[in-house]
Amino acid sequence: MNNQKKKFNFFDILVYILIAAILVGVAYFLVSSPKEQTSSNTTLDFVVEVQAGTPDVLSLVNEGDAVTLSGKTEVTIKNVASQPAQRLTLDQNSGKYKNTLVPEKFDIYVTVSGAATQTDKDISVGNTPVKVGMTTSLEGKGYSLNGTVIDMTLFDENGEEIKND
Amino acid sequence: MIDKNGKLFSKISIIDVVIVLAIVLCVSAAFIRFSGLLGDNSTTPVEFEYVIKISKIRDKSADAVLKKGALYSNLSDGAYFGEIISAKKRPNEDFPTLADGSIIKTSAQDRYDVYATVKTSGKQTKTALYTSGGKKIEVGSLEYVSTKWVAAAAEIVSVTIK
Repeated sequence: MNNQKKKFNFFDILVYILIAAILVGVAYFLVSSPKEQTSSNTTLDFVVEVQAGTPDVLSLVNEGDAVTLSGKTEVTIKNVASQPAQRLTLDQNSGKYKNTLVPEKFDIYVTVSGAATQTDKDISVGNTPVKVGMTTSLEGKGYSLNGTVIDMTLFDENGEEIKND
Repeated sequence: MIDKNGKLFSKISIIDVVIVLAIVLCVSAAFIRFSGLLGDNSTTPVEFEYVIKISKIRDKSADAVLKKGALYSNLSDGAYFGEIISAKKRPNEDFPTLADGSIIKTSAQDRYDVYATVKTSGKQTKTALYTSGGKKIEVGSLEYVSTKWVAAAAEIVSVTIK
């Protein structure tokens, strides 16, 4: 019968020190990270502009639709508006900018509403931060829209607009 | 040299040797990095302000920047850039090249340029300026930034060390 004694050698000690150092580093990072303030009971309404959408897409998008925001969070379409699509273009001869109509296409403005939480850094619907200027997708039954957030309004639990924070 | 059990000269595990070599390498690299052997790596804490320009954005986007607030990187690192302490909205100024090769000054209608002043503490080395979030600040660089309200691409146009 072999009596095998477990050896606790120098190299094992080095490995244990390395693992301990990594654990201490992770713990320090987690503890020292600034705590974020959060608030709930707020609602965010934001407008997504979908440029140059087709009439087929426009016909599918309706007020009251449940859609997925950026593939992560379910939100509700509060309003749908549209106008003939325009593109800001530069006339290369005159040097003037002008809004040019895009034939047979529509700019679609989808107002979306969802319960929001806010920190010092983000206002989020579900776990998706929403900011003016960001691109996002809205996926509904039979359609997927890609657009840009062009406006957002935060409401408190009483439905009063929160102007700035 | 290495036996059937993976031991060097039948005494030392080859895995242990690799781990020890990795530790020695990291310690050596850290020593070289911070010892000054590579030159003067000293840093000095510093307070500074810099101005970012966000060009050709819509009215609502400009108004969102005017709300000021903490500025972060919009990339995966989410690093802190500083605090927007003031912002000004101006009609867009653009310098396009025309078909004949000439360059003119014009303005995109319904578009604005916003100049925002950001204040932060950070550190400076002999050759560079960094925010407390570790972002290097250089006039002319393009950064993808966001506040609580807006995300945009911004060019750093000036820096003032306090």
